[in-house]
Amino acid sequence: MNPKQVLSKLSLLFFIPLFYMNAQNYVGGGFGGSDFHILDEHASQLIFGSIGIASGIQFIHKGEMGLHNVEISYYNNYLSSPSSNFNTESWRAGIRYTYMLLAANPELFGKTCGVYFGGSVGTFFSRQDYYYYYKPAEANAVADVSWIWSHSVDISAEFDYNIAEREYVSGQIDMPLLSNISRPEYSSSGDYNYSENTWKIKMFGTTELFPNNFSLDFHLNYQRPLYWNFNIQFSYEFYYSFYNKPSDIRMYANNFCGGLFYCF
Amino acid sequence: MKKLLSASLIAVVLTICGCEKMLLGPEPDNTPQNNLDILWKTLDENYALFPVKTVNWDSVHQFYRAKLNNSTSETDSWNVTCNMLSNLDDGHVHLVNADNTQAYNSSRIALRKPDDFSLDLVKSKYLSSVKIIGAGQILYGKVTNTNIGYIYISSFGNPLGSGSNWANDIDIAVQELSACDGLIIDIRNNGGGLVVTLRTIVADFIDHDINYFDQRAKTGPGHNEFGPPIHLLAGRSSGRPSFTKKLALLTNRFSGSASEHFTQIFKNLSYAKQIGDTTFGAFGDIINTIELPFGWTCTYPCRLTTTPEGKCFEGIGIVPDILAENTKNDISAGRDIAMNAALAYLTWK
Repeated sequence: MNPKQVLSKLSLLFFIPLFYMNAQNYVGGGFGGSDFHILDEHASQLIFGSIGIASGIQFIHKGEMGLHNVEISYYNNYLSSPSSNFNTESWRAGIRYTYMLLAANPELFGKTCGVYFGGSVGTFFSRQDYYYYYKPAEANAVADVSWIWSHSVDISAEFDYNIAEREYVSGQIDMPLLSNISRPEYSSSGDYNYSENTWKIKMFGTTELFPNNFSLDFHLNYQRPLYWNFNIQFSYEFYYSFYNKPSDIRMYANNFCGGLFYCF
Repeated sequence: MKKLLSASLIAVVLTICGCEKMLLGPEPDNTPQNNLDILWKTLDENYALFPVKTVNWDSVHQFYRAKLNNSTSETDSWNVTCNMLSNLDDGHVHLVNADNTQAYNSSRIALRKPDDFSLDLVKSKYLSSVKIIGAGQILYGKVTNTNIGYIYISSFGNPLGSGSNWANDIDIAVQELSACDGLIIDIRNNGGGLVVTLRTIVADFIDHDINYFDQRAKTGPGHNEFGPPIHLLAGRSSGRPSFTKKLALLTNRFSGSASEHFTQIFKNLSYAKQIGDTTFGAFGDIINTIELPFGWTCTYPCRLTTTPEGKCFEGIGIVPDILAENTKNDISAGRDIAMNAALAYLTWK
């Protein structure tokens, strides 16, 4: 068998379960608010935080044996600190694929539940541009730029509570077991024109095993039918991350989104 | 059941929203002592020039911290902090307050008045014609009754709101003065700027590639934790005019930072002499910014610059080949001793 045939067989194995008779697929996206806070001691000893935007698109396939979930997310915040002349522009983007097997489906209050365990692979990039007000230019000047780029293999678990057809509440949790983290160097590395100074971002950095690069991503979703094949979804995400190179970085986010999903 | 779920959701959200202290740690205290502590610690772990400064940084901390308490006014706190920084005596260490109404440079030279140089005097007494190019940062002309050219560079920084292209205008001056027997390049009172612009300018005056300095970046919190040397190179650029006849570089105590890189390159040229006064002595590089709880910012260097042989001129400056110091009285009397020395050197056969 040549590599093309192997690939086509593998792809069939992956996609066929998505269209089983009793399977349910959801594809859609959402938009909402993000309450994000960060302390990145590499860039500043001050805590920055604010409300910004959260958005994402998602594909979920729930089969008899398990579920697939692909999620792309983007968050943007303009962060402030207790000092009004310091602010920070922050954005975070990520993609995650999760596969979980149905471990149990007990009944609770007369409704079926699903308990899933599995894993996910994901990457996210979070960047913060730290500014201070520079009066001679009557504009913000860059104090520092910091980032964290994480690629990880995570352990995942989900609990579903199926209220009615296409109406459910689910909670999913992901924690990285093995990750590769890119962070800035200990001190700035300039190119002497201060336009790229410090910020030659490397895709890969240090490989870490749990609990280094500790993070916790918790999603709580509620979906219900809206019209025809469309569902409305309300979701809440809590995200927390801690890493200690080259200095401590801690961040957390509470994200709230409303979205529309097409079910088939 | 739905009510139970909603209540649980609200409870979870409220719990998580209310626990910033647990997740990120406490917000730094906005007190004079903590403001000083953060500044001291950041410099302790990141400032690159401790190996060449004879300062006991721990004692400095103890001494100045004891002068502060929670009731110290912001003005007094500012003064104490500036006094602490004065121990570094570094032209690259600046403190600016929150509303940009106060700024402090920790170098003792920065406290002096630059009164040993007057460009107006040079223009009126020595030059026959003057042209200004490079976004106003390059002035050039010919010295009256001689075949000597003169170029003054006021800064290696970019003027507000513009990029580095202004530095390419040096080609115009070099082209126009190419028939001269010698050139005076004056960087007195040039406080520095960007290495990229000085390299653009100096490329017109060098005849070979030069490793003029090495730098080492901090790689950890210890005062001696540095990475491998990064070689700073100046090279010729092809297709551009070049002047490699006799050169006189004029410097004074206010030729600092990037101007000192420029000077060091000239030190490597057999046909150039540095004339005037010793340079500023500011050899840190790659400037970081600290944000303090009071809203103040402090900038500091995180790279140590040395010659390839390991010699650092921080706080010393680059000593001229021909010492020619002006005084305020010389300038008032219409004399520029450094210019006279440069002309004597360039016209001497």
